[in-house]
Amino acid sequence: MLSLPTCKQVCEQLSENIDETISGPKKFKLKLHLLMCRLCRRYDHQLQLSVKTINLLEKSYHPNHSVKQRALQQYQTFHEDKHGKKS
Amino acid sequence: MPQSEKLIIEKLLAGDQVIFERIFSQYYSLMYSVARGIAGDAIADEVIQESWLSALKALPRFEQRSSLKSWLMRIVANEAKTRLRKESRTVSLESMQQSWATDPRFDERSHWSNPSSQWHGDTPEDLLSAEELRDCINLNMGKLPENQRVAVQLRDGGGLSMDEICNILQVTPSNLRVLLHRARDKVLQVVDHFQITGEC
Repeated sequence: MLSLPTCKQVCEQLSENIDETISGPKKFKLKLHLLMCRLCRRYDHQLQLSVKTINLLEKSYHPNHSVKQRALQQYQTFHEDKHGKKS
Repeated sequence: MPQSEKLIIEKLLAGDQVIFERIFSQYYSLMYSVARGIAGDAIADEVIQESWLSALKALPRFEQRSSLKSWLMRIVANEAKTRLRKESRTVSLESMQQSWATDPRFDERSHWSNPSSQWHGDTPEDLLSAEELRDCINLNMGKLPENQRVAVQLRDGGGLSMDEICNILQVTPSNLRVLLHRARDKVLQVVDHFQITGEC
């Protein structure tokens, strides 16, 4: 008898599938479960939306002016020191 | 390594400030996420600054076996861990939350008993248009175990490959899959709770 994954296992596999595409019998069983289970289909959609939301959130950090200036200053000093040592 | 990356490295070594500013800005959000994830908000910018100094010193020896981005992130992760050690705070990259084993959303047969609700909003922009939800996700991501938080920030925030993240966090691929799933699932639950209650 074909034993399908539980909803809880499907949730884990859906996350796994984002990173490394599931293949073979595991993929077939996952697809079959999704076909029959609207709640897991909903979870799939929401998981993908959550990943995109994390991506958007994490990209929202920008260096403020003083952080950027400090970094540029550090870069400049680093090169001046390097060339100073060479000459 | 792509030709463009080779050129960037040459320019960085030559002291090209325009290129440095561009690369600094381009990788800042990811570097900030990693530094913050490991060492905390308060010293994240200091960690980035120290990381850049280490990176510039090591750049002539960069063997280009990985991408510049992943090499930089490894340096940030190491600097952040060093800072934590200096400040005698614990680095707990191996901690795992066990709540998944007794998740009340599933019944005894591991099928849904308390599924997520229908969400209003179909895009990340829709979801994040609610300032409270944005703050709530940030707050809850801050509460995740460090290894889950850094894993999801590197993967979903920074788009690093699974191999690169395993290398940075020193975890196996199967451990990384668990870390990612738990972190993503937590964010999903936070959004779901907000959708139902309108509260964090």
